Parts: sequence; C-alpha cells; structure tokens
Amino acid sequence: MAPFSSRFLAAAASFCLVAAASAQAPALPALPESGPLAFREGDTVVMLGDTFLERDGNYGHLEAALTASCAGKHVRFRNMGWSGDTPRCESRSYFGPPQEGFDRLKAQLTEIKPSVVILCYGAVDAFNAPAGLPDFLASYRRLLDMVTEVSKPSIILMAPPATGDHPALAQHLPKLEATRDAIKSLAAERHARFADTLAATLPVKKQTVNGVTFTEADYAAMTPAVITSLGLPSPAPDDTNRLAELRKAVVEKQRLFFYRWRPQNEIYLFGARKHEQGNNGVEIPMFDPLIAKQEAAIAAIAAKAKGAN
Amino acid sequence: MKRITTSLLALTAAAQAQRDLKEIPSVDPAVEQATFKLSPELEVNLFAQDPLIAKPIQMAWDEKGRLWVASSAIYPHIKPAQEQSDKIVVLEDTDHDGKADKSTVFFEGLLIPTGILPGDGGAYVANSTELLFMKDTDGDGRADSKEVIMSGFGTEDTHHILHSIKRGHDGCLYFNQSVYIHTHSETPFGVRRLMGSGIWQFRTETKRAEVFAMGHVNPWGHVWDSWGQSFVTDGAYGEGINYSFPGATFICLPNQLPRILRGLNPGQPKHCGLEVISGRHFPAEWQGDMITCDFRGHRVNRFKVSDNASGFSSQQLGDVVTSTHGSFRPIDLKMGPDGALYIADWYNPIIQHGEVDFRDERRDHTHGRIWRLTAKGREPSPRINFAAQSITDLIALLKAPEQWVRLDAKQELKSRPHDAVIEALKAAFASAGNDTAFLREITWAVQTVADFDLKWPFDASLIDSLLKHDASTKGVAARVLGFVLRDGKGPQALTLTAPLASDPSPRVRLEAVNALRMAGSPAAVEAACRVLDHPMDENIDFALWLTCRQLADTWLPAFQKGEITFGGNITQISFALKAADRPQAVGALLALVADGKVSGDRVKDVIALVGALGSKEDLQKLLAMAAKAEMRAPVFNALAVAMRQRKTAADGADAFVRPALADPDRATADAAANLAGAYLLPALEDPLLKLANNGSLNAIRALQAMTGNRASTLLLSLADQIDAPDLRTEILATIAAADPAGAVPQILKWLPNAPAEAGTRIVDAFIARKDGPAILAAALKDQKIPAAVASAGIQKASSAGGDTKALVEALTIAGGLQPVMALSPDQLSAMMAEVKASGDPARGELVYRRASQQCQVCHAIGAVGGIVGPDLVSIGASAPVDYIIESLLEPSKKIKEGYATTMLSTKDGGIHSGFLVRQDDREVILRDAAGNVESIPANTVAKQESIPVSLMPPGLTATLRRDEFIDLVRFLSELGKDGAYKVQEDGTARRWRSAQPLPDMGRWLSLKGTRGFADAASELTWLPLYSHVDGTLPITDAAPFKAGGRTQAVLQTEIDVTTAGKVGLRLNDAAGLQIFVGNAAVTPAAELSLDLPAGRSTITVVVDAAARQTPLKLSTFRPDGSPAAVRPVGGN
Repeated sequence: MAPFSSRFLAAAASFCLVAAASAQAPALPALPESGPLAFREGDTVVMLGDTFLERDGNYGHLEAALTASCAGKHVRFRNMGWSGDTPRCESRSYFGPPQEGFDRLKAQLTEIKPSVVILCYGAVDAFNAPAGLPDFLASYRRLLDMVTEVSKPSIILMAPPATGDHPALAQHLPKLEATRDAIKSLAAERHARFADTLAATLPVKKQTVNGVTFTEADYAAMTPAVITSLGLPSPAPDDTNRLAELRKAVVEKQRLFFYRWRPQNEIYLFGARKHEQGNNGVEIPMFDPLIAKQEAAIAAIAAKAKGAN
Repeated sequence: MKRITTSLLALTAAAQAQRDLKEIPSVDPAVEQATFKLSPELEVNLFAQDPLIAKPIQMAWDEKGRLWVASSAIYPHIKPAQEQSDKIVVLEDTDHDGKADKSTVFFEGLLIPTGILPGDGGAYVANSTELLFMKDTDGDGRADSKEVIMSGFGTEDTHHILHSIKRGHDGCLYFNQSVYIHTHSETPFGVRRLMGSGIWQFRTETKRAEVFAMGHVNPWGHVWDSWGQSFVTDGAYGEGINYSFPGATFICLPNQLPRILRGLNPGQPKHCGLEVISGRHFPAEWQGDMITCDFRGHRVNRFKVSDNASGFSSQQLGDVVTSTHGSFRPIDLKMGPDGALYIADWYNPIIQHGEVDFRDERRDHTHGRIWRLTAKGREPSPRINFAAQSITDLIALLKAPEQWVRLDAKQELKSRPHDAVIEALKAAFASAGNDTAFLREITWAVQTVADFDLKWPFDASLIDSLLKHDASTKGVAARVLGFVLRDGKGPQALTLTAPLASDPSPRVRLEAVNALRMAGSPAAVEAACRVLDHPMDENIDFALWLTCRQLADTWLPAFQKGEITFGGNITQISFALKAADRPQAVGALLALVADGKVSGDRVKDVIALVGALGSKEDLQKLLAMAAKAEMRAPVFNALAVAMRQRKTAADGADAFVRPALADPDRATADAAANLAGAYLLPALEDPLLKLANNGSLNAIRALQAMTGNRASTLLLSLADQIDAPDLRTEILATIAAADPAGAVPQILKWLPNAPAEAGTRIVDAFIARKDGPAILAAALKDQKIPAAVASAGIQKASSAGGDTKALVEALTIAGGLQPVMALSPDQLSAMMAEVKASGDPARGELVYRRASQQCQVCHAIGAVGGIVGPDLVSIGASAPVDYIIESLLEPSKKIKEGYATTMLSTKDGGIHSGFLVRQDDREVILRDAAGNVESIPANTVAKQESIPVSLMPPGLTATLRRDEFIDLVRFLSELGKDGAYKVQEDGTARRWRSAQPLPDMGRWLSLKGTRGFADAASELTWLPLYSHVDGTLPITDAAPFKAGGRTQAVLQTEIDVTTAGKVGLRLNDAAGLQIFVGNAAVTPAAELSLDLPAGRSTITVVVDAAARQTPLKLSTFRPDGSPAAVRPVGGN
C-alpha cells in the first residue's frame, strides 16, 4: 500500500456517511402500501422528521422496537430527526436559508442510499393549520420528490403524535387532525404507506415535558402503539429485558451516528472557518468503523432476542 | 541592514503544535496565586483545585450552600472512541473554612456541558443540543433521573453552544447562545428559532421559551441589578458592560439589523462572566459594582454602573485581580453563601479552538481552580438554612442585602404549598408600605411561584398599588404587565400599561414600550407611539422602532382600514410608518409629505424609503416632488436606487434631469447625473461631459453606462486632457470596469506616473470582473510601474476573491517588489526568541503609528482607530507571539472570527468582495479594506460565499527592517497585558484630529483669530490622530502651523455628554495651551469644571510649540456631586 497517511485517507472520505463495509444492496421492490409490514434483508431505513424522532435517539424505544421487528436480518437504521424541522428542512440549514438544509439532506441521503424512508413531519406545521397546510403539503411533495429521486426508497408517512396536557394546547387537537388528514391524503396520492401516529398515541397516557415533547416514559408507553400503527408486529411483552439490552446498544449507536452526521464545530470542520481548523475534520469519518462495530453488537443482541422467542 | 523579507526563507508548513511549549507555566496553584495582584481591600485563597475539579466552565451555588460546577475535559471536540464523560461536580465546604472539603460527581456522561443551575429540586444542565433537567431522587447525591427540557440548540462552535444558565428575579431561567449557533426548538407555543446569538427566557411553569434579547458575539455574562435590569458581557466583543432590556439587540454577525444598540464601555477587551456585588461582607462602596473577567488579559475587572436617562452609564474602576500567569483564565464569577466572590479559573494556556488546533498539545484538559476573594477584616455574610425557614421567615429574607439570599428564598418559596405562599405574599404586600425594594421582591416572588395554568395569581389592584410608587417599582410593574400581555391574560393589562408610555421617568417609558410590544395588537402599537410626545433617547427610540417594525403586519393593515389613527399625530404616524419599512407604508407616507405634514430631516428619510420600497405609482409622485429645488437631489438619488435595485422607473424624468445637470448646486447636479446613468437617458453627453470635467464621479459613470460594455471614447479623450490624478484614475477605472481591454492602453500610459492610490483603484476595477485580473496581468508584462502603485495594487488584489495569483505576480514584477515569504518553524522560533530578548515595545508603538504602515487605518486599539480589522486592545494578552508574527506576514492564515471576507458574484459577471456589514432581502452591504462601504442590490447577486482571505493585505511589513519588525511584534504582544500597554478606561480622550495648514495661514489667522479653529463651520481640513496607548499625544504628531513668527499645532477631540451637568476636564500639563469648548474659550488649568448640556461637545486645543514640548493628555471626569455622565468619543 502506498504510504498515504491515515489522515489523508480519512479526509478523502470526509463526506461519506457510511463506511465502505456496508456497501449498497441491490435495489429492493416497494414495500406494501398497507397490511403487515416487514423490513427486508439489506434494508437501510432512514427516519426523517422533527423532535419526535430526534429524541428517540436519547431513549431508543422506537428504534429498538423497529430493530427487534426484523431480528436476524441485516437492516440498518439511521435516525435523522432534527428538532423543529419541517419538510422545508428549516432546521438543517445551519447558516444558510432552508434550501441549504434541503441540499445538505439530499447529499446525506445520496451517501446513505436508503431503501426505506420513514417520515414524521407535521408537529411544527400543525401550529399553522389549517391555513398553512397547502404550503406544508407543497413543501412535503417537494421533499418526497427529492427523496425518491435520490434512491427510490419505499416511503412511509407518519402523522404527528398526539400532544399532552397543556393550557396553551387546549384547542390544538383539531389542528393536529387537519394536519394528519393532509398527510394521509398525501400518502394516498404518492401510493405510500400511511401510519396514523396521532390516533395511535392519542389514547396513550402521556406525561410530556412541555405538552409537545415527550419523556422517556412516554416513549416507552407510546412505542407499542406506534409500532402497530406502522403495520409491524409489536414486541412480545415478555421480551422486556432483552429489549432493554437492545435499547442500550441502539442508544450507543445513535450517539456515535450523531457525532458522525451532526458533529459539533460545523463552522470549523466544514463551514466558513474550515481554512483554520478544517484539518480536524479528518476525525469525523473515524466514527464509521465504531458505528459498524456497534451495529454488529446490536444484530447479535437482536438475534439472541429472536432466538428466545 | 537586511530587509525582513530577504532574511527569511520560503518554507510553508508550520508546526504549530509544539511551538511555545517552553512557555507553559507551572501548574502549581501556589505559583499561580503568587502572581495575583489584588485590589487593596481584598485577599484571595484557593477554594478548590484539580483533581477535585478540572476545566470548570460555569458554576452556581444552591440553597444548601453547595457549589455546582459544569466542567469539560472533552472540549473542544469529542475524539473518535473517546468516552462521553464530562461531569457536573458538587463541591462543599462543610467546615466553613473557605476551602472545599467534599466533592461529589452529580453526573458523569455529558458532552461539553456549558451551563449549570441547581433549582426546582434538581439541576438544569446545558448539554450541547439539549437543556437537561436532572434529579437525584434517592438522596445519594448523584443524578438518577434525566429529562430533556428543550432541544434543538445548535452546536456549530463548542464555545458558542447553549450556556450561562441564570435565574432572574422574576423566576424565569435565562440562557444564552452565541453567534454561530442556530437553534430550532419545539415549544407548546409553536417552534421557536434563534439564528445567531441571543438570550433565551424560559418560564419553568409553562415551559414557554422566548428570545429575550438578541445579538452579541459570545455573551457569557448576564446579571440583574437589584431593580431587575439586565446587564451582559461579551467574550468576543469589546464594549464592556451592555445594558439589555427585553428586545434589546446588539451586534449580530453577519445578519446585522439596520440598527443596533451599543455597550456602555466601547474599547474594552473581551469579557467573560459577570457578577454583581451585594451583601454585608463586601464594603459599602463595592455594592452594586459589576465584576467581569478579562480572561485573555488574566484580569478581573470592575465597573460602576449608574443611571443615565432610560439606560445606564458604566465607569471602569481599578482591577480586582491581575496576573501574569499565562494559564490563569478567569471565566465565571459567583457570590458565595459566605458573601465572598468565587472565581472559576478555566486554567489553560490556550483559550479556545478557533485559532488553535483542536488537538494542540499545549491545550490543558486536566486542571482547574476556583479562587475565593474576601474583603480584608470583614465578617462573612450570614449563611441561611433555607429549608428550616417558615414561609413568613422566607418572605422576610426578601429584604436581605444579599441578592443570592433573595433569589434562594424565592426558590424555596416555590417548593412550599402554593396557596399558603400566595396568601402570605399578598399579606406581606399589603403591609409593605413604602418599602419599594420589598414590594418589588414580593412581586418577583409571586412571578417565581406562578403555577402551570398560565394564570397569574395577580389582580389589577396589586399592579395598581405598585404603580403608586417610585419609577423603579413602576418599571417592575410594567415588566410584569408585559408577561400578562403576552399571555393574553387580563383584559385590563393594556389599560394599565398604556399610560406608562407617558410616565415622567424615561426608564418607565422604556419598560412600557417593551411591555406593549408583547401585546402584539394594533392598539398596543398606537399606545406605545405616544412615547414620542416625550423626550426620546437611544434605548426608547430603539424599543419603539422594534415595536413598530416587528408588529408591522399587525398594525399597518389596521391603520390602513382606519381602525387605529394615532390620534392624527403626524410625528407618531411617520415614525411608525418609517419603522415598518413595508411597501404599504410608502403611499401613506407620501401623502403626509405632500400635505406638508412631515418636517425637516424626516422628509429625506421618507424619500429614501420610497426609493427602496415604492411602487411605480409612488415613484411618479416622488418625481413630481422634484419641482421643489431642495428636493431634487434626494429624489433623483432615490429614483436611481429604485431603478438599480428593482428595475422600477418613473416616467418623464428627462424633463427634470436635463436642467438639473447644469444646476449650480453641485449635489443636485451630481444626483441628476446619477439618475441619468441609472435611467440611461439619451442625448445628455454634453452636460455630463462638462460635469465630468468638474470631477463628478456620477457623470463619469453615467457617460460610461451610456456606452455600455465598450470603452467610452468621450471618456478616453477626457482622461487625456485631465491633470488631476484622482479624476484621471477614476475615469480610467470606470472605463476599465466596463471594457478592461479597451482601457488598457490609456492605463499603461498613466500608471508609470500615477500616485499609489491609482494602483488600488485601477486594480479594483479589473478584479470586479471575472476576466479582469487576467487582462491586467497580461497587460503588465514587460511594463515598469512605481513600487508604491504596485504595492497598493497587490494589497487590493490579494484581499479580493477570485483568482488573482497571476495579477499579484505581474504587479510584483512590474513594481520590482520582493514577494512575501513564510517562515520555517525554526525561523519562527528564532524570531520569537528575539522578540522576547530584544523587542522594544516603545519603538514598536512608533512603527505601528507610522502612516506608511497603515495599521491605524484599519485597526483600533481600545475603540480608537480604524474599524476594518479587529480591535487590537488585548491582542498581546490573548494571542501567542507566533500567532502575531504569522498574522503580520500571512494575514489570510489567521482570520479573526467575524472578519472573513465575503465574495459576491453578480448575475452580470461582476465580483465584489469585502467584509459583510449586513444584508437583507434588498441589498448586501460590504466594506472593503479602505473602509469604503458598497451596497449591492440583493436581486443581482448570483452567488455569495465566505472566502478564507483576510482583508489585511500581505506585505504591509515588507518594507520594515528586521529590528523594526521585531519591535512591532513586541509592541503588539504587550497590548492588553498588565503594564504600560494596557488601555486604561479612565476618561482619557484618545481620538483626536489635527488641523491641516491652509495656503495663507497668516492671513487666515488675522481674519479669524485663534477662535477660528473652534468654529465648526470653518474651511479647515482635519486628519485623524490617535493618542498613544498610555493616552498621551505627542505635539509633534500634529501638523505644525507657522504664522506670525510662531509655530502652533491645533488639535481637536470630542466628548459625549449623555447626562448634562458639571463635567470635569483634567490636563497632564496646562502649559502652552489655549482651550475652546465648543466656541467658548476656557482658561487652561490642571483641572477644569464646566457646565455642559447633553450631547456632543468639541474641545479644541491650540498648542504653542515654543511653550510646550510635553505630550498632551486630556481626560474627562465627573466632579463630586455632579449628575453628569460623560465619555470621550471613540471610533475612526
């Protein structure tokens, strides 16, 4: 091998979000629009949305349940939720206009090449419903066009979850319902699977942090209903311990992936001041093998869980 | 003597990491402590140190007297495979001997926690993207529950992330983010986004998060005085103490608002952390003083803040601590439960990671100290066991002189049964009489314990009673009303707030305007505008402007429908419309102008606004106004803006422009030429040529614009006839910008005889086009031009974007210049040693001040000097010597945050580069290295990028001898360090200007007399002059006047009197001076006391060179008992 330094090689790979080890699987056919859902061998599932998905990264309930649903298969999950985000990608833009966030997401998806994208938007836009829904739908269509153009994945659209008790949210449910209905019609229009997260989470007793974001206990309580609404089999109730182990491993992987796709110090590593400390950007792809290793550990735990069933 | 450039070899790679390691100071705390020089009343001891704590960032005391410390060994960036292991540590001094004897790790596993605040039965922790609330539910001292309270905080820079969590008197949490951070957070009131720096306000009971104030670069200090007013310090900007009211907006890079507020102490070094002194332990004269950390200069500074109209003025006092220890980095300060002042010492020879590699080996990850400052011979403040107090006792503690006792008592009340607390507070309120301090605290206590259902346990009668008291109490009432108005609770709140906009106290009027903005209704805007019937000041004007602007979409339609009328008050209507800055406002404004209802300067504002926003119909009305002679210039210029920015024109301009081109008023003729160029009006060549011949740049540009992208033959022939160098340069530059190849022959003819400025201007014209640099580079082949012209051209070319490498090479060869070379690591080490051993800062200061070095054109030292580059006031205290050397030799390698160059490519292929001053959807404003400001219409911009090029040209030091360069570096490396090169903020006037002699000075003097120098309307020209760092100005730096056998020098400075009254002037030596304040002569004396009105006063000093050689130093002060507030004017 030529005497290139590891720094050089890492720099060359600095924008690649997946390690070479996890090469792209052959294109998979579309998942069914309704009925039971099962992820397939080789699926790469991206979760795209706002705080609801992002915060699962802290707790792992949702992703652990998704992982458990396909134990024994090689399926990778990438949680790319971003607090406060909308289909306009407003939270992903850093210093530029939302379009920069949109373009950044496109570049990231191009690297990841998802075969399935689960989107959960609408919680932010519901505050402007119903007046803002036409704009919401237009931007959502544009986002779906982009996602489809990148890797033709199967699309699953989730409604936003139900909110909790808060005086400021006393009149909020009709807005959420209008948003949910709009997303449902969009799903029909796009022949995409729709999951009514709102209906699924409405009956669940939730404490919530502030009415609109959820505690760890809330995620634990809502996850079975959310999983069912997606058409996936709910984890067996007697599987709690192994799920906890799986969840711990998933949270660790999410943490590593977070360092990878949303590293701190963006301005110095890749932004306007990369001429100063951009050389430190070589460290970021070094998280890839760590993520791959953690995924192997997750697969082992999941397989163990499946074996026990 | 060898020139610096020839003594250095060209080598590139700089092995920064190992350099300077020898200068790492001893980590022994005793060694560090021995370097401390303290204010004479104080003493210091070490409260805690590593390994008990490492890398403390923020600290906070809880009501049990324990010190919570957020610390990060991971900063600046987590490494692959590194454990996420940052900690919150709780320190206790169980035996009260002033030293921590117990340490508990509350939580380990955080990622660069930059904020900590215990309270509400747990602790709030800033953890990168999240605000956490952690609790110890089983009493073992360690957190076992963790919830994310808010998320979506940006992490674009880890010394900007969510930080500085504080609790206000009102019970809200406040936390800051800095300039690179973009936050998107979902709240029950909708998503909240903060793009850039600002202060969040978070109500723990409703979880409502709003932006309290905006701006600053990196604000890590936030405190309240006893009246609930906020003060802020900025760790990356130099204006000392900043007074921050709700909505206050300070510098926000790069998306600056059209107007911002300024700090109270311009020209200060950067400050981190802020604490206000209170309590029985500190002497009376320290009470209320603001203490903050000059972390770069290893100092702790002290300021006294006093009322000044609706805001404050701030005066620096003697330092609290100074040190020469390179790792002493005071960054946070907190008053402790014993009344001592505790200082968190980040302890690091490296202060941040923007300019020093993340993995630099000099960076310390393991040490940290907390120092305890006590007042000599004074009893500690009494410690309070809050848990053991009854509700009544806790309410009595709201009278304590210690601010932290009052805050903790309110927190403790929050944990007690709600209804009982409210009843007790109401009873205390009823019996508080005229104890206004107590009334305010009770009010804040009610806010602090407010419950979840968004109902204030307040009724109108409580507010009503507050409003019967003094201004400070009314101000607190107005602030509370703001919350009520924002929540939309209490229909009587608007009725109570509206009259406060007419209160006799400016502070109350300011609070009222801010509260009314919270209501967000047209009626509230109308009420706020009544403040215009009373004296205005900067803060009130800003608050009202913000109100009218933010709520324009609400009140403007209501005004157009006649739902609000402002009572027909034209002053109010025109202020509101102008602030709204909306196209709909233009028609209404024009109607007011047409009716003659808008007066004076405001008419010109309106005209400019029509140009920026008006429809074609509006522009037509604008043109009609040009019937009046005095309106022509502003109208023509506004119409030109409308055409250039928005391609919107009025019909029939020709009839107005043609005669105006011959107008004897030059401004009118120039404006007519401007419009002729924008509209490309035909058949105006002759009058334009005449005007061009008289030096009108607009006429030159109009003539070229009419010819399109060919060289204007009219201009080419004009250039041949013109002798004035500036005009000839301008004509050729204008032609070159349109047709670079066509301009080349004339330019090659001109440059060999041209002055240096021509190099700048001509190169500027070529680099503004993509094809320009290559054309000029090719043309210069085998040409000889003066070195000065080449050097100026290189400076311009190398600070621009685009590919100018070949052009720089061509200019270098044509001018016979030596290229700039980089230093090898060994050469750099040798030079650093030489700076230390033989550099002379006094000689270096003289090099810095040389006009040929141009340092002062771009840089200020302590807010006095140029504004293009960073203020160098504490560069020596903050930057290593190697950094200073490399910055001088290769400026683009080291670009200070906020000083990157922005490059714009326009749709017509043009290129503009410079410092981004501000931008909005209409224009992008750039400032170039010469300080020239350029506005580029936003709709013509094809691409905008930030480029890693410094506006500081390389090669500025190329003409220095090596010893001069060494002296210059030594001078810069001393700036801000304790000693002779630390700017003292002692009221010394440091920005001067010197009158330039007129051709027949003797005759002028016999006509006007010496007093003529003080006449603001005189025909004298002045050049800027700045005093030495020590505040003295050598008389010989001023231009000498020889007349009547005497040699004189005339110097002038300005002072800002913000509160009228007796103002003191102090002179180092009154000999040989005549002094005028305004036009009035005053008798020189070592100390003078003058009654001055509010506003700017000019001080003219005439020096008799025969009678005086000592340098001049003039300082302002406030004589005992005077209410006056005064400060010298800074700037360039």
